[in-house]
This record gives sequence, structure tokens and C-alpha cells, in this order.
Amino acid sequence: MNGLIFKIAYRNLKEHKTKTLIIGTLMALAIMILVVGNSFMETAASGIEKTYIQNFTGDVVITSSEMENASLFMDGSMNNRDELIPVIPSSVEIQDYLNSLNTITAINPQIGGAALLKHKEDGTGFAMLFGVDPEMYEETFQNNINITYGTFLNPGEEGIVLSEAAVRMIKDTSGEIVKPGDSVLLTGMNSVTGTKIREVTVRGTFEFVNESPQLEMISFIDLNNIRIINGMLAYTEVAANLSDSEQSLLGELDEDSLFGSDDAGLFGGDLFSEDIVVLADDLESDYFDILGDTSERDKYSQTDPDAWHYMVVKLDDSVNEKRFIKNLNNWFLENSIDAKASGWLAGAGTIAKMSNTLSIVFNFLVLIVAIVAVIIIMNTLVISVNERIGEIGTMRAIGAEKSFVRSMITLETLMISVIFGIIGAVLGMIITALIGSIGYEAPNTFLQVILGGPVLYPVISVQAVVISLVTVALVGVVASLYPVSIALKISPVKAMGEN
Amino acid sequence: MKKAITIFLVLLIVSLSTVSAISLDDANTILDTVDTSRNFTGTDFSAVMTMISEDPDTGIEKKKVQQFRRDDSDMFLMLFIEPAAEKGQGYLMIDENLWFYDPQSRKFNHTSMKESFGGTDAKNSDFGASSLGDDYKVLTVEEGKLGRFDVYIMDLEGTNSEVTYPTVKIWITKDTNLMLKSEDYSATGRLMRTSLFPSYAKVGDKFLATKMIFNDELIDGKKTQITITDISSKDLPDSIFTKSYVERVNR
Repeated sequence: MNGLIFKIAYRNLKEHKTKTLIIGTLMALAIMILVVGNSFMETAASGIEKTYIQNFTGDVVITSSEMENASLFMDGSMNNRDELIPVIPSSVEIQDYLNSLNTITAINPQIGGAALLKHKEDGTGFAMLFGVDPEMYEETFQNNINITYGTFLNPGEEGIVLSEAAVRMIKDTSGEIVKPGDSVLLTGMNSVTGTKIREVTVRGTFEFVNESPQLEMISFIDLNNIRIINGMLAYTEVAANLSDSEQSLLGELDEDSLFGSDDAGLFGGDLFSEDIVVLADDLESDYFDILGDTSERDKYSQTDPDAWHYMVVKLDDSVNEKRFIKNLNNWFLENSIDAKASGWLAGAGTIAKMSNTLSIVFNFLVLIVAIVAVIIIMNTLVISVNERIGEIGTMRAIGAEKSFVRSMITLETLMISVIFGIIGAVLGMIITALIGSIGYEAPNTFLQVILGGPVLYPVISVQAVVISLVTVALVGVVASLYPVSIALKISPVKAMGEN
Repeated sequence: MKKAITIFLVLLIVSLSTVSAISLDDANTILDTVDTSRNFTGTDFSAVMTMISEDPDTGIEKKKVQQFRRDDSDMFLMLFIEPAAEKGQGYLMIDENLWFYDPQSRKFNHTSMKESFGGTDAKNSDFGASSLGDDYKVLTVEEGKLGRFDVYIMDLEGTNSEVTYPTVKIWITKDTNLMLKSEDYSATGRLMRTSLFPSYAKVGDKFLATKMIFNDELIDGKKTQITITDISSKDLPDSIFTKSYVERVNR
């Protein structure tokens, strides 16, 4: 019986060669795109994940729970230049706890920041700063940078290791190349100590092993200088005392009352208040003592050695990252520490998330293609069934059950789907393998970011092939449902009469 | 009859508007007058500024700044007196260069008049000599009221790329030519900041805004109020407007 259905289905496909080829080619094309696209996406996504975990974010990123965005690259927290990135509370306690766990392979505390660069008279540039302890950083992220000139920071040494992009920026503005041993002025701003200028020595220049436009703005700096630039102080000043007049101007102000409508306003409607003018005649003798006692200032220039923005944790391969994060967040809760642990993706920021989003968009597009394919196949099959009304009616008249007709049409669709699906998948694998051998060079910065580097070598994704074939089989079955229902409605007597 | 009344009314409105309207030339002259009345020409100027910044994220901060101005030479020095963490930081404008000084590193660095002053909502350009007449031209002018004051409301457009805001709308008192309010717009026409000047002091024949309020229009609830006290128009030693003075005062 099964053999008979198979034979009839095969014969029908053969008799309607053109239709079979049209549907088949469409399906093969869709599967090919699916295999190539998904292989690209998967290679890029796994490449980005591996790159970020190995080189920047580790498996877990710890931040203050006040920090909405745990990105190490400060995207989202740099909207306002003087906005402070919250410091991790109880950082020493957290570090001690992490060190007591035997599931951790490395911890790297880190500080983020940004500064304008100035080299000699005319050289200017910009850098995103990673403030690191050189020993801990190198222990956590081995071989993720290439020193192009000079050295990395040495333990306890102040200085900056500039990215090649920063060196290029300075060269573009002044024509001069920054060399190790040169000084650069860094100017940053924070809401605690205002604008800060630091003169630091360039220890070396570098580029990341895995280049990306997101990474090329980063330069490494010692902890003391980054803490000064960020205003991460050991002591904080007491809140300001405001006079009644100053208090009265706080909050929302009504312009009419401020400028005195017909009634007396905030200033009684008087634009001139001469009485506040106090001519400071005795100022002359105080020109050089205008600041008074500056000893308190020294106190507020001491940085907090335990102030960190991020703690990047690398886990042993055997550890389940999600479970570890959950347990760590529970520990924070139990110990009333306002910190939070997040996965690598949160630490990687917008760029890595963009790649993930693109993958979702691609799969959505695939879904639309699948729906279109279902409609086309269904339409073609309906036409085919209508052409064979007499034949199907005759089959039914000579004793073919409804299930026979159903199986026959479903099998026809499945045969097209599977045969052309396999052809499409094979073509997709060949194309992926070919591109994989020569590499796909991203034509623009946007694609470079999405693909995680300038050149992508896609690897055939077995998962993509299997998913594609399953999808195509499902498309075949779904597409045959409506034509089958039409075929089953055919009355044998009427069909034979029409014939 | 109806038509005749309509024509009469139109003519009346046109003639009235001609009488009361102010020409663009007159408006540009008023801009120059605003500059003249605000700039301390022929004399130096010093005062203490108390700045209170409100920020929904960081709370309330108070800063005190000693201000020295010599408008004739386009020079000024602003030295932070409070808070202790910022004491001694300064902005020095000399030879058309604006320098920022950090006493901790004892370094000067160039900064721009367009930058925020000490992280507040005021800009560095708010504290130099007024140059509205040179930097802007009047696009439109109309008469109106602000509170109880009769004002000219002018739309200004920057004449050069050095201006902090490319377009500005200002409210100028009709009788005294003092600026009461300004709306500062970006190149794309977005309102960036609203500034209010509700109180002035007369120092000699000059006017000085003794109360200024700068509202950040991009962040709701973020604003800075400035009060000016200890005003003096006495001559200042030349040495004040030098880098060495800033360094010496910080020793």
C-alpha cells in the first residue's frame, strides 16, 4: 500500500515537472539561504562570545546594583559626561568571598572612564580608559593585546598604554607620533571634583588581538590616575548648607512669579536690588590669600584604593555560569550588599547585543520567507489538485479511502521538500565552506562590529542544517493541509461526471 | 458696507503695526546697547559667585567662585573657593585663549567657551564680556510681556561658528534694555537651555545680573542658580590675569 502511494506520488510529480521544479527551486533556495545565513550568524555569535569572555568580560561581571547597564564599555552610562559610574559597595568583602571559592580561575577588578588627550602643543584625541591592576589584568586576560611599542603597565607604576587608534588620532591633529616616555595630558570630568587634568607618561602602545571598532578607543591607565579623573575619593564632603534665599529658588520656578506679575513676585517685582551690592574695597590686600586654608583640599584629593566599577570573574569550565550568577546574587542579598552579578553579554554592551538582535531579526525574516513558501506551495498544490479532480474522483470511486488521498498529496509535498531541501542544504554547505576557506571581509565598520571583526570565516553549522531540514519538512506538511482538504471534498460521482 | 468695514479694519491694523513695530536695524542696535550696558569698559570688575546646581541624579551642590573681569582686554579669571575638593581650580581667559587650571596636578589645559562651567548648567561663555551684537544678528523681533515687564522678544542667529548656541531667543526690557530671559537652541532647533535673569544690580553706569538661573532642558529637574555678591569695580593688578598668579595663589 505504502509502495503504491509512493509510486503514484512520484508519478504525479514527474507528470507536473514544471510545477515541481518551481516549488523545489524555491525551497532549495530558501534552505540554502537559511544554512548560509545561520552558519554566518552562529560563527559570528560564538566568535563574539568567545572573544568577549576570553578577552574582556570573563564569564561574570559584578557591578553596583545601582548600575543599570553593566557594560564595561560604558555605553549607556556615558550619556552625561560628568555622570558617575557607581562604585561596587563592599568590594573587599566580595573579593574575599570570591577568592574563597574554588570554582573561580581569575578575578580582575576594573575602573572605567574617559578623557580628552593632549600631546605637546597641538596633538589632541580621546580615549576610553580601563583602569587596571596590571598583574591581575594580565593573569585574567592572557595574550589579548599586542604591544606595538614600549611595554604594558608594570605593577605599581603610573602611566598610560595608548591604543593605536589614539596614537593615530594624535598624529592626525599634530603630525607627531606619540612614543613611550612621552607625556600626555588627560582631562576628564566628574561631579565630585569637577574637571581634572593629569599628566601621565606613555608606557607603550597596543592593539587588541581581536580588533573591533568598539575596542579601538580603549587605552589602559594606572589606578591612581583613573581614580583622580573619576573623583573616586576616600573622603566625601558634607552636603552644602543653603540660605533661605537659595532654598527658595530650588525646584520648579514659575516665570511669571519670578518676574513679578502685577502682584509682587519672588523678587517683589523689583528688577534692581541695589542693596545686595557690597563693594569689596578691602579685597586688594587679599589677592594672594584668596583661597585661604587649602589643607582640607589635600584630604579630598586622596583616592579610595578599594573603589572599583567592575569585577570580572572567570569561572572554571565545569561551572554552570547561570547557576553561579544566581548563587552569587543570593549571597549579595543575604549579606545586604548592593551589588549584582551579570553574564558576559551584559558586560559586553551594545555591540555584542546588536549581534544577538541581528540574529533574531534574521530568524524573523526566515519565518516570513517560510510563510511565503507555504503560501506558494499551497497555491501550486491547489491548482494541481484541481487539475486532477477527475483522477482523484476515480480513485475514490474505485475504493481509495480518504486517508489514501491524504497520504498521497502529503507525500508529494514531502518528497519535493525533502529532495530539494537536501539539495539546498548541500548547496548552502558548499557555499559556506567556500566562503569559510577564503574568509568574508566586512565591507564597512557596521558589519565589522556585527561580525566581531574585519574578516569572518564562517563554519558550517550542523544545527543550522538540521533546523533547516526540519523547517522545510514542516513547511511541506503545513502547505499540504489545505490542498488535502480540497481533495477530500471531491465527490467521486460528481468528479467522474465532470470528466 | 461690510467690505468697506473690513478694508478699514485691515488698514487700521496695518497702520497700527507699522507704528508700534520695531525694525530689525533698531533691534540690532538694542543688542549692541545690551552689550554696552553689561560690559565693564574702562574699569575692572570683581565679584563672588555662589552657584547651586540641582541634579536629579547627584542632588544639590554648592560652589563659590571668585570672579575677576577686565572686559576691555577680554580677560577674566574665575577661581573656585568652594567646595574644598575643587578649591583653587580656575578658568583663565587671556590672549583669546581659555585655560583651565587643576591645582592637584598643577597643570593648565585649553578649554572652550562652549564647555560647561565647572560641571554646572552655565557655560564658560556666560562669564566673559557680552558680545551679542558681534556674535548674533536679529532675525525677528516682536513686542510682548514677561511678568510685569514690557519686553522685546528677538530671535537671534549666530554669525560665526564660535558661538555657544547657534540660535537664541531673548527677552529684553523695553525701558532699560536688560536681558531677562533667553532660550538657547542647538543647530537642529532643539531647545537646550533656558536662562533667566530676574535680578540686576547697577554698578556705576553698568548693569550686572546678580541672579541667574540656567535650566537644562534636556534633563528634567536639572538647573543651576547663581547669585553674585561682593561686587567691586575697582581696578585690579595686571598680574591677576596671568598663569603665574593662579599658580601662586594655589601654593
